[in-house]
Amino acid sequence: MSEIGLYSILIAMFLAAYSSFTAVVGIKKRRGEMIASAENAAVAVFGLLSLASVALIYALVTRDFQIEYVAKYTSRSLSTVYTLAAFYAGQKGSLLFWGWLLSLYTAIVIFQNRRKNRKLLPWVLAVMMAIDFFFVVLMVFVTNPFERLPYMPLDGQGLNPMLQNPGMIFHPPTLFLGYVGFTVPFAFALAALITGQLGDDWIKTTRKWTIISWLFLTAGNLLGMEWAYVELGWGGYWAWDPVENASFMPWIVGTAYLHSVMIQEKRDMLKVWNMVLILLTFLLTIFGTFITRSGLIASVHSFGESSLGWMFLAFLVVTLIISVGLLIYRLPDLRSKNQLDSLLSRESSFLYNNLLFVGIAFAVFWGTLFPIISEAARGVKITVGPPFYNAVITPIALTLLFLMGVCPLIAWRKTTLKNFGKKILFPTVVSAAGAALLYVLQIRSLLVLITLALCIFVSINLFLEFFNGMRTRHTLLQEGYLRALWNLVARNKRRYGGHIVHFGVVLLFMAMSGTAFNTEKQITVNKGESFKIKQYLLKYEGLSEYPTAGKERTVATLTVFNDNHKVGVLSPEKALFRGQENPTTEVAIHMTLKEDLYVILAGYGKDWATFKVLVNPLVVWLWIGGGIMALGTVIVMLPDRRKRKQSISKDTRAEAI
Amino acid sequence: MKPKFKPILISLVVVSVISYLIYTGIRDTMTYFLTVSEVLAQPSENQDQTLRVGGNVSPGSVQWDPKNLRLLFTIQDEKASIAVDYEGVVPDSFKPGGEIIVEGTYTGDGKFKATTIMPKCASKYV
Repeated sequence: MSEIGLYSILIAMFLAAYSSFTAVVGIKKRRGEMIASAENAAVAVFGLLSLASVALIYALVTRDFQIEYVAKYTSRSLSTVYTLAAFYAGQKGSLLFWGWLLSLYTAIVIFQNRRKNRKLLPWVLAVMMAIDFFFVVLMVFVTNPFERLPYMPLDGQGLNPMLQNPGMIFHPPTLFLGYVGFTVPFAFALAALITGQLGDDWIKTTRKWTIISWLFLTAGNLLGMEWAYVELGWGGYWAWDPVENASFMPWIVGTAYLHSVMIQEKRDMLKVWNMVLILLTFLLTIFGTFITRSGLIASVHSFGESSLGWMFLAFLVVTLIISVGLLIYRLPDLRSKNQLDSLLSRESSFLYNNLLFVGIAFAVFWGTLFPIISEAARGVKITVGPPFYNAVITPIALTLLFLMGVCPLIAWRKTTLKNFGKKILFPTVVSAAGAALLYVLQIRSLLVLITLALCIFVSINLFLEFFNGMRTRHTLLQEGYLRALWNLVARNKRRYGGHIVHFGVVLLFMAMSGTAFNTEKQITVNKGESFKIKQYLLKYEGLSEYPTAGKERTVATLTVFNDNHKVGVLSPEKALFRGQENPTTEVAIHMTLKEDLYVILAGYGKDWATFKVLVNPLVVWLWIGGGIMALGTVIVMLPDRRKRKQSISKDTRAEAI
Repeated sequence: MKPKFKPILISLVVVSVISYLIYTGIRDTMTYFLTVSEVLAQPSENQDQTLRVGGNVSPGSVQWDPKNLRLLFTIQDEKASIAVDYEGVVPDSFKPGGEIIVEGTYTGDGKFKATTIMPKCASKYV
């Protein structure tokens, strides 16, 4: 079976090169049958890489330990779910997964564009297959997932215990789906630059790809945060580690792009800027892969330093040169006919938000690379950590939050200051009153007060958008209120879906402001003793041992009282996985809408145990906010009912402010 | 020309503000990342500074008091070693002989008071 995998990737490599090359020759010589052949070859690459993936999964499931990858990431005692997850748990498998996803996306793109974009498609195909070729070459020559050991080990080394968490099942694939997805708009952008078809066809065609990729990247990052929170056991969910930054940067630039393309669609402006953003988003996904796999930057996650990182660097440089070269070549054709009419207009507010998004990305980029930059420039390694990111990004992010609230108040093209003042007055007064109330309720941190006031400000404006739109429909079209609300959203999915996403973002900000009030305590107690943290009383009941096939668990039991009401039992534990030297800490969390009670078993003896306990306010709103963002994004993507769109959108444009 | 000029001006202001934030952010929060030998090479300069130090946990040096969550160990490179004093939860990936980064203050005489320890986990995830 593994031979099948080996030959599959080998043939896939030749076919990917053939497809890319033939597509270009086909369009140059105007030979339709060559383009068709290139398309077929690309579909065949998808088939072969699927076969290779199945072969690797088969080897994993059947525990074919002679394959080095299988021996390294699985063991006989590993459960089936994590055995399947081992497919993308290691470098080699994850490259195969990446290459396979890219070939799948290519096949879908070919299918979607059978009858449209025929001028762009060969170039899109050439770009995507060239990228896939790079990945398959790595698999064939550098890190072959089907490499065999000279002997047959009795058992494998097993999967790192930290990866044996439900997070492992969802986080990596989601992130990969997003990462790889941005290749599609990138390929279309390059094709547009090459062919000179610089209208917004490429943007419209790839709109859904962009949104889906963004959705996956958002979900992937949030799932990673959730995983870090429950698994790494330090009580937080984001540490500005280089690996986190690597996936944060393309996400933030992708977010900027999602916003700025709307300006091109509506006003035919910012063409160069949009090109730059999408090229940058893709380059940052490769850059992220490079820094995480080269071992260039010291990270808590050790990513097995390998030569692979440098190949990604070479790939990055080549892609960068091609992208920038093409962009400069087409610069004269990308001039926009329209100009900003006013500084106080919807367009300008998008421009500002873009500058801020890119500003955040740049700050993160600079902070991540600073150790290298300082070493090169001054010969000393200087690192920056969370305090740097908090100091720089907090003010920018809060400004973005403000813009998010202001944007719906500003009309396209131009708003008069007087009109704007009238609209902003009510939300400002309410949010100021809200902040005053919070102050009375003993919330004294200025930063938190500002954040929460802005959250109120944005929420009111979002609510008014829905409310006013609904009322107008009710009055003008005599629809019932619920019906009016439904129709309002259903007929303007992009706009109101976007508002829902924004409301999710408000919840994220609210959740993050909670970190200002984190409380923690470290304590050693004897069996039967109790201790307090805030209003919680925890009684230590004792330790129990549970040996299972895969691991040896030591579980502490604590009864938890909240203001003297028993709310449950928490069981933090340490588990020693077979074949591992170090125990794995499993935290226990009592989660409520108000706060999380987070308990770590730090050490234990015969009759005593030492705990680290944290009370983290509002954490659950991160996951709720993330869910709402996903819901809004899905609404944005739902297809429109074409026929009635025209007439309705006319009067909603008049009515919805 | 005027309408075109204004957005550029505002963009410049935004860019300058962000650059200023980055500049001051780095200035106020930067931490030197040194090897064990580099710390000991300039003991007086590094005294009482917040530093990050990278090295390996010396095998056999680890003393763990689980009741008080106090961890004493030495980190070393090829030439020198420093005694580290840390209080708190020990990350799962900490192990003698392993690579580690400690953050804290160099208190002189080859001693380091760590606030954070970051073992490089032998994480097998790519």
